[in-house]
Formats: sequence, C-alpha cells, structure tokens
Amino acid sequence: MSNKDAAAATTGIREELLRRFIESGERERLQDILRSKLQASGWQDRVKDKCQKYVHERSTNIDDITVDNMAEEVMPYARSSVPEYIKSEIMEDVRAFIYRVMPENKDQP
Amino acid sequence: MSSATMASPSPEKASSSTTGRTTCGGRGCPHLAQQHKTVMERLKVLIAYAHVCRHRQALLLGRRGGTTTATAEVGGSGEGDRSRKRLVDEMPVPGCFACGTAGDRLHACLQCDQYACWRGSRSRRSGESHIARHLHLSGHVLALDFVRLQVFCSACGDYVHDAGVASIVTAARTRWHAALCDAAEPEAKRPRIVATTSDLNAVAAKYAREHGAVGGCAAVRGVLNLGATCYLSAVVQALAHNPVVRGWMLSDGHHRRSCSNPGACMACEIDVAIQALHGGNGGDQVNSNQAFAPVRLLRALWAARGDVAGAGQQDAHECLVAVLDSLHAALATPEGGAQPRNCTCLVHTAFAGVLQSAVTCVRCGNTTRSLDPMLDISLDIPPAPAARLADAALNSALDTKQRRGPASASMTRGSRPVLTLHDCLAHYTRAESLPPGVYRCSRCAAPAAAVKQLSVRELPPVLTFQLKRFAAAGAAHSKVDSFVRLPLNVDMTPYTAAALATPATPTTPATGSAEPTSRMRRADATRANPACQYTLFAVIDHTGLLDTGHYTAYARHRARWFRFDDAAVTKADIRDVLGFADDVAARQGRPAKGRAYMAFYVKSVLDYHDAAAPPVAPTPSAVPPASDDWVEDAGVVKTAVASGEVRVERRGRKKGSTNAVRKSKPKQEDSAPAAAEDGELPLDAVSALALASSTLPLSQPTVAIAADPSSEDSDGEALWARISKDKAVDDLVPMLPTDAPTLASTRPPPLFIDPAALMVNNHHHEEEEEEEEDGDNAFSDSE
Repeated sequence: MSNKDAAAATTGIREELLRRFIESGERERLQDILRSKLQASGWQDRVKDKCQKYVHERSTNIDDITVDNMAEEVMPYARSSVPEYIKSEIMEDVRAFIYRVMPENKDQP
Repeated sequence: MSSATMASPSPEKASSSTTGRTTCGGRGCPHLAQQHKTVMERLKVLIAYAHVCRHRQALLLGRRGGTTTATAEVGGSGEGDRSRKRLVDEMPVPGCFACGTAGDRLHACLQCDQYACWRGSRSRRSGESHIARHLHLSGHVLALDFVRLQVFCSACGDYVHDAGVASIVTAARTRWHAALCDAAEPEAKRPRIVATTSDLNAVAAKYAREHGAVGGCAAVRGVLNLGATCYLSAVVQALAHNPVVRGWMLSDGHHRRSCSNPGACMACEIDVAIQALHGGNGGDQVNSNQAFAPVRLLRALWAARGDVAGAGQQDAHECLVAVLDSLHAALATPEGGAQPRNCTCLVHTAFAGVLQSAVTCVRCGNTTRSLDPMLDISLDIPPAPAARLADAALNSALDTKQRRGPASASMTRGSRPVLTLHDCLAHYTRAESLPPGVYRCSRCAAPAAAVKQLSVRELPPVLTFQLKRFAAAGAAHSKVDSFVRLPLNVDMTPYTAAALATPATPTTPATGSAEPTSRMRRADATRANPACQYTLFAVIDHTGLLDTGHYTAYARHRARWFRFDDAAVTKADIRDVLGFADDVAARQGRPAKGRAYMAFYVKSVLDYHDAAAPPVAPTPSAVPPASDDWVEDAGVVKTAVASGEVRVERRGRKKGSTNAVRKSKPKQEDSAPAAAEDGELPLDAVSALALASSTLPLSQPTVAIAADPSSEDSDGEALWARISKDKAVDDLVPMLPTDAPTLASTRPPPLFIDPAALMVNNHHHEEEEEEEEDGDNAFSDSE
C-alpha cells in the first residue's frame, strides 16, 4: 500500500473505531472507571485544591477568571500528576477494547 | 485521554453582584437574560437528551442485571421499560457538525440546531474551536456544554451561571438519578422522588414573614470544654453538622414540651444543643458568639450511660455511640425499640445500615450470609500497602502484585504508596480464609475450609467511619499513628454486598492477560452506582498520645470548612482537613502523624426514607406492617399533595414482584402550615428560614423532596398523579414541568462550586437558598 492509502485507511479505521467506541458505551464506561480511580487516588482533591488556589490568587479580579484560563493554568499540573498505574490500566482497557472490536488491526497507534 | 478527565467541575461565571463592573455584571449574563424564555425551552429538551446520551449504556442495562459485554450493540427492549429503552435506543449520539467527532467537549448551540465540538485546549488558541466558529459566524451567543450541562456565552467569553438554568439542570439530574440508581442496582428499592423543585411556596413564605422572628443563624459556634470534655465537643459538632440530624432537630423533631421524659431526655438535650449552636441563646445576639456549654447534655449522657461518666477523658467514638444509643432510647417508638432492624427513629434513619458477613464453603460453594445492623463502620488500619500485598494472593491473580509493586506505585513527588480510606475499606471487605476446623459447612456436613467476607449490604444516608487507632496490643496500649488519607468523595459501590457478590466481567483480550478479578472488582466492575456516592462533611481528629490526647473536629458548613477546637472556631482549609501536608510527607517517606480518627460522610444525593417524621400516629390499620415479604422495606412515607390530603404509604417492594408501591387509603390531614404551637413557627417556615443547607456537596448537589403542598406546584401534583397510577418504577421518561420552577431572582439555587467559597459577599444568597432547600428535603411530609 502506498503511503497515502495507508494514511487514508488509518484515518478511516480510526474514525470507525471512535464511532464504535462511543456508541457501544465503552467510552462512557471507561470514563466512569477513570473518574472513580482518579478520585480514589486523591487526584481529584488535589486538582480541585489547585483550582481553588488559582481563584484565590486572582480574587481581586474575579471576572477575568474564565474556565479556559483556569484550565490552561491547571492542566499541566493535572496531566502530569495522574498516577502512572492509572494510566497504564486505562490504556490496557482501551487496547483490550480495540482488540475485541477489530482483531485484525492490533497494531493501531 | 479525552478532555473529560478534568474531573473538577468548572466554575460558573460568579454571579458577581458585588463587582458589577464588567460585561456580565449583575446577576449572571445579560445575553442569557435577554433570551431567557427561548433558552429555557430548548434547555428542557436538550438536557433530557444529554442525560440520555451520556448514560445511555447505563440506562439500557437497567433491569437486566449484571453487565453485558460492552461490544454488543445493545438493542431490543426489556420487559416493562420498553418506552424508556426505545427512547434511549433511538436517540443518536450527536456528533460535531463540523468535524464529525462525537467526543471532545461537545456543545450544542442554544439558538439553532448545531452541535460543535471544542477541539481541546491545545487548538483553542489557534481559533479552531468549532463551536466558537459557529457562534461567531451565526451570531448566536449561547451554547450548552453537552456533558457538563453548563451554558457558555461567547459574548462574555466564559461559562455563565443562571438561576433558572441551574434549577432545571438540578431537577433533571434528580429525576435521572433515580433511573440511574435503578440501572445500577435493579433490585434495590429507592424512595420515590415526588418533586424536584425547591421552591418555598408563597403561602408559607408569607406566613413565615409575618409570624416568625427571624434570628441570626450562626451555625458555627464553639462548645465549651467543661474539663477534659473535648471528646464531647467534637461529637456535638459532628452531630450538629450532620444534615439529617440537624434538619430533623431544627424542625421541631422533638418537642421539649411534648417530651415524655423531661429532664433526663437525651433528645431534648441534643435539641437544645443544636438550636443553641445554630441560633444562639434563644435569639440573644449578644451571647450567640460565645461558646455553648453542654452542661445538661453531659449530665444526660452520664445519666444514660454510667460507664461514660467520670471526669476523665473518654473516647469520642464511645461517646458518639452512647449519645446515639440514648437518642434512640428517647426517640424510638415501642415497636422500633424491640426490633432495631425496623426502628424508625432518627438515629436509625440517619445512621443505620446493614453489614453482611458471607461465609463460603470452599468445597461445595455453599454460602451462608448473616446480617448485622450497624450504626457505623470501624475500620482497622491495615499495615502499609507494600506488606499488605503479600497476602493479597487470596484475592487476586498475580497481576495485582506485579502491578502494584513499589516500582509502579509512583505517585507524584514521592514513591511511597499512602494509606487511604479505600485501603482500609478494602482490608475490611477482604476475603479471608478461616482457619481450618472452625467452620462446619451445613451442606457438606463436615468441617471445611471456608472463606469469609464482610460487605455492606445496606448503606445508610450518613456513613460514619472510625479508624481504629487505639490498638491494645497485649499490655501496651498504643496509638496507631499511620497517616490515612480521607477522600472528599467516597464511592462505596465496590464494597457493597451487591458488587462483591457478582463476579466481575473480565475484559479478556485475546492476548491472554486476564484482568485480575480483584482489581476489576474493586474499581472497575460495576458502574458507579449513583446512590453509593458519599461526600465528607465532618472529621474528628485526635492528636497526641492515647490518654492525654486532644480531640478537634472539622465540619463543613455550606461548603466552607471550619475547625472546631472546643470553644475556638476557625476557618479551615480543605488542605488541613484532608491533611495534604501529611499526605505529601507520607508519600515522601517522612514520618507523618495521622490525625483523622472518625470521618462522617453523607450521601451526595440525599434520598432517604422519611420514617423519622415527628410522630403523628398513623392508624394502625392504615399502614401495612413490615413483614418478611418486603424486600428492604423503605418505611412509611407521608407525602402531601396539593389537595391537602396526606397519603400514607409504605414503600418497598414485595419479593418477586415488580410493582413497587402498595398504598393505604389516603388520610385527611391538615397539611397547611397552621399547626403552630405556642407561636412556634410552622414547619415550612422554620425549615425555610432557620436551616442551613447541608446537601451542597462540591460535585452534585441535588435533593429529593416531596411534593410541595401548594396549589401552584403543578410539577409535584402532576408527578404524583403519574406515580399513583402504578406505573413501573422506571418509567421515568423525564417529565418536563409544565411551568418552569419559578425562583425569585434573589435566590440562586445550589451551584456546582459554591461561589461563597470564593467570594465572601455571595454568602448571603447562598444562605437563603439552601435553607429552604434543605427544609424541603428533610421532611417529605408536612404538618
């Protein structure tokens, strides 16, 4: 297959996967699982604390606080402080789903 | 990872009534206010749609029992929920009109029919946000975040908060909560949600204004230490901020004047204490800042339990148990006192749960279960996680050990795993093998090896944990000092009997590595049951040594945390409550002293059977007695409808039948708020004005409230009419209220993040609103 075809095929497969991912409810299920794991590990409390600190710092100018600004500020911390084991567990679940749905494409990125 | 991993709720544009300088000054967004009516209409539909889409899998699985493999496209309908399932089935998942993806913070334009996605934060800067583009091009201003149900105003540039919107969202969430709980746990009973509005009806409000004396509501007052009674101070504070107890007491749950045992009645003393803590000394503003002296309370305690008497320091947990015991003795009805299982007093309504101990014979698989009522859960503190893994072999396959080994337990800034409440709970509900020869299986009729496992069968509305820090190891009594991190929210689903009974559905990829069952069981297997979510509201700390330590309490009052150190009350940071500093220290391996001793959690969506209503004696024939036929009897519930009559029914479900409700004949009762005695305020008014809200957790504040006894409440009446036709309990195609709940603009309904925590000046609005909400919540009947 030429590169272009491969790329097109990949995109097509990716969209199909995403569609199935969502429609079968797997995405929702994994999101729930992820949420409870993050909460159990204390990540949610820490991020919430960080957000509150952000707001306190800018309490003089409340109206400048927007969701996007706060997200931009807190996101790096939030992303980096997710415990490793949660990441790998979820990744495994996702991989399992992919394999279940499309067994022939097990080397999808 | 999708952007939904940011679990922290997004703050609204603060209703900055104080600054009022900017584009969106005043109460909320003017752009939204302009188009309020049309937006509301669209919202009602959209929110229902959003709920269906978001939880479609959960809803489809409802009533099927167990989890199906997620690959199968779930089609078809089950018996009895055809309408709902068809509804869910036929609704397509919306995708972004521009790019076709269905993920990524989908927004729905509120003025036309477009859906567009946000495209993540990375490309936001480059202006690729599809929703922004659509809004810009079409001139529309408002969009709704589909997942989080927040309104975005592109003119203000941020998410905005609006009273009407928030109330619709809350109401919808409450309705769907019942459906979701049902989906997660099909066999459990739920109290029927009769109405979801939180309006104080005009009649009661007028009455209250004219007849009531509104006193200042302090609610955070210290308790004097009468000499080594810090344990009592802590317990009193924990009870005073307990939403169920406080609500019941503040609404004249126990009349001092109608007490049958005055002078030695614990309920009277608790009532006095809670009233004093909240309202000062009989409205005396001067003295209300001083601490409250629990003299009579102490005396009542000593009278009730002689072993707690004495001048020395006592254990806070023992004290709490003693207080609850004597409260129960004071409040219980005669039949309740005989059988604690069916007791309907305040104590059991709030605290009582059921523990299950299941012993399984290894040889034949025969399981015997025994149920124990409990008022709290006492957790052992397990040894450090690294050592604990060694005996996890019974629970799981090898993967757990390898995965949770020290190398991969790397959290940020430190590599030691920290003990959390979840660890303690997991240890409590672990499957332990009984020593041989102890168990005699009834089926095999021979001694056999057996496995015993504890679990929680019924969760109480208020969950109390005690960490057993006082280990009496032989002769030396020592305190177990290890730091245990308490989460702000606890999901008890993995520890319930239902969750532990069903074996998890392992997702087995063909590569062969099966998910270890215990890990699945603990966190993944079942969907988080919305009825098992708890939020922390009070913590009792113990510092110091065993005999000479000191108790302090942290409690949450309207989303703000306070530290109660006997008479000294200070504002506390959530970081202190949860012990972030200790957490970090423990993770880095430094010695950290764990302070938390008892933790009090309340259900995030507080639905409970209002059996602890102040005694209005029902005619014995009218109420069907509790019998063994009833699966988890929900108690007697009295609800009032607009016509003024009060129906008394027993909620629950007979074993084997799907029909949920068996009603007795409705009784005529005076439901108008005219049952005042001696100038005391009627129920609604009192609850409206004097109560502080409790059910304002930081994530999902909703309450299930009964029908409002007013003629304007068409919502409650219509709902009641629907329910009374004996429809299936989950025919909860969301009912759109005929009138939008009319809230006065001065009372913003519960928010997802309380701006009062951010801005001092908003405190007032919060106070007013939550009071009435909580009032309606705690008393589904009116007298």
